[in-house]
Amino acid sequence: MNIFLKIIAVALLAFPVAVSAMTVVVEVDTGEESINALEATLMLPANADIHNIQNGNSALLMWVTPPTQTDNTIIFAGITPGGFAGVYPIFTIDGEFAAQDLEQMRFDSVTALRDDGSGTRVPVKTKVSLIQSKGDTIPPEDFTPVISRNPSIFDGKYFLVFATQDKGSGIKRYEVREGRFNWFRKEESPYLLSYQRLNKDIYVRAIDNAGNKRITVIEATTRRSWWERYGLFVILIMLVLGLLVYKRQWLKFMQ
Amino acid sequence: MPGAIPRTTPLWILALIVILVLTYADTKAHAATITATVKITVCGDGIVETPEQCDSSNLNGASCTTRGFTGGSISCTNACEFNTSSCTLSSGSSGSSGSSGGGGGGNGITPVSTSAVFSGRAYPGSVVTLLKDAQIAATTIAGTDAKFQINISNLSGGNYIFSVYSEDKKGLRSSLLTFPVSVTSGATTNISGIFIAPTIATDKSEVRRGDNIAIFGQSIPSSEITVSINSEEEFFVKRTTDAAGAYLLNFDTSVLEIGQHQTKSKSALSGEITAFGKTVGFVVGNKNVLAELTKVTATKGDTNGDNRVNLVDFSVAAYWYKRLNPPASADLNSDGKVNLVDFSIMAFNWTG
Repeated sequence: MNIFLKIIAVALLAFPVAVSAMTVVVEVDTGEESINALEATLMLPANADIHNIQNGNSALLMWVTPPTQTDNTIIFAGITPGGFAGVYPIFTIDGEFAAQDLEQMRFDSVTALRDDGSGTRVPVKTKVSLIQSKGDTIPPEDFTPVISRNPSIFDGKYFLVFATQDKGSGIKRYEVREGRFNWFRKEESPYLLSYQRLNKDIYVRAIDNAGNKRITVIEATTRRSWWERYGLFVILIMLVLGLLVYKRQWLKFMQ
Repeated sequence: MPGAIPRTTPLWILALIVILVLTYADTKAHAATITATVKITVCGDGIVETPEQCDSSNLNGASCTTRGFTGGSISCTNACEFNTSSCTLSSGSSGSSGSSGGGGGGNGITPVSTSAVFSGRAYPGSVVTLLKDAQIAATTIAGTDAKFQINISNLSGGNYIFSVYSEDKKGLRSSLLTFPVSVTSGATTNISGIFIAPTIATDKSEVRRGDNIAIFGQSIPSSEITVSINSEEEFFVKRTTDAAGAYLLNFDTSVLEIGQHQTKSKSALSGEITAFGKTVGFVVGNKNVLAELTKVTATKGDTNGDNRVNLVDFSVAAYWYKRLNPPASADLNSDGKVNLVDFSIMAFNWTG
């Protein structure tokens, strides 16, 4: 009997544990307390293979620290104006997990603050469970970025703030482009504007975790000079005129 | 299954968003639990519930004849109300045949967009602001009876956190009334019975013990206001609002101890009751100091002085998150750092 158990143990060690693609939802249970801020660290199993973290249907609306994986931890912090009470999802994790991985996930340093105007700490329960993964074909929601300036940041220079929601898979990143002929770059809010004269159209692109995109354009607030508006057009006309003159001279020369 | 109506799962949602207010009475020692309720229904799921007349193809047993017509076909609008435009009132002549012929075309139910309708009561003529996931989605002006209705469309199916607040004639803001709602794709979700808590302010920030302090604000006309003055002993005083929804309580402070005190109020009308609204602090001391209304309406968390707390202020605070020497405008609890507590205070005072 003893030998039989040893054989099983050796067999279990010899063969890797079966893992499969799963989606895990991280939830908070506030009980009857209305909380408006939550911060925590989720410790993952050592061999966890995380593909994606999505915050689509999260009860946290504004992320101070979006769920971010560093080694075997996911840290997150966010707020919900007005607060919420009950059991709500915070984010989901897509990855390759073994059945026992779920039991090994544990929360560390959970801070939940009551919606009372002074940030009183209250106890909450956190849990992880399996859910069915859903597709997402809907782009992020329409949004309106705002240009602002404040003496306390960026030396009082103009900056851009933006945020939107995606109820399907959640926002993966934002990209900003200043001017029509420029490149989109991955940026975060608040974003210090490169063109402080505000004479360039600003394009903000929100991309969700499924790759759906939503672009919002903020028109330049100051009038652009004539050469900025028509410069390219003038150059093209001059090029065409130059070609015509050259062609005429060439024909004259050939005759 | 020809002719069978595809039945969706019963999606009538009757959600009770419970806001618990625990009231402690000291010597009388009674604790009360106040439940503020909003009703959430879905127009477009085929199930009829008050205040809907019908829902999609479910006409709730109604026909043109039950609605007082003599013939024709009745249908249901996207707002879940009867559409009797194809019903006929004939006196027995040729009119009815024409209408029955057209009945076949009226059968189709136009697919509704994903939308939500919010209705309830604020203050007479007040500005009501609806936040969708912390951003302003719509504003409206309440009627003279304090009733308001806001429709928003182009939503996606999913979980939303909606919040409503109102601003009275003096510029005082109510507390945020928040309700998470699961919006059904392709349907209209009705959120009714919203009852915004009263505004509140005092005429003095410090009052000499024994003098009166005026506690005032606005709610629904002719509603019963319960004002709580909270110190070591908690006092409850009731007042009735006037036709403009205003209330005033001149409270004799001789019963209060020297020191810091707080006051808050709630409103009740026809069996409906709000949660307690914002809390206002005042000091009972040796002199009278008038409260400036501008200071009363100023909002903690407003980093750029625009009298609002929104994404711009959040971004300024986020810039200073865990950085050294943050400005006082971002360090809301004055502990020398911007951390989750500052964001929590900002979230409490959020205006969108």
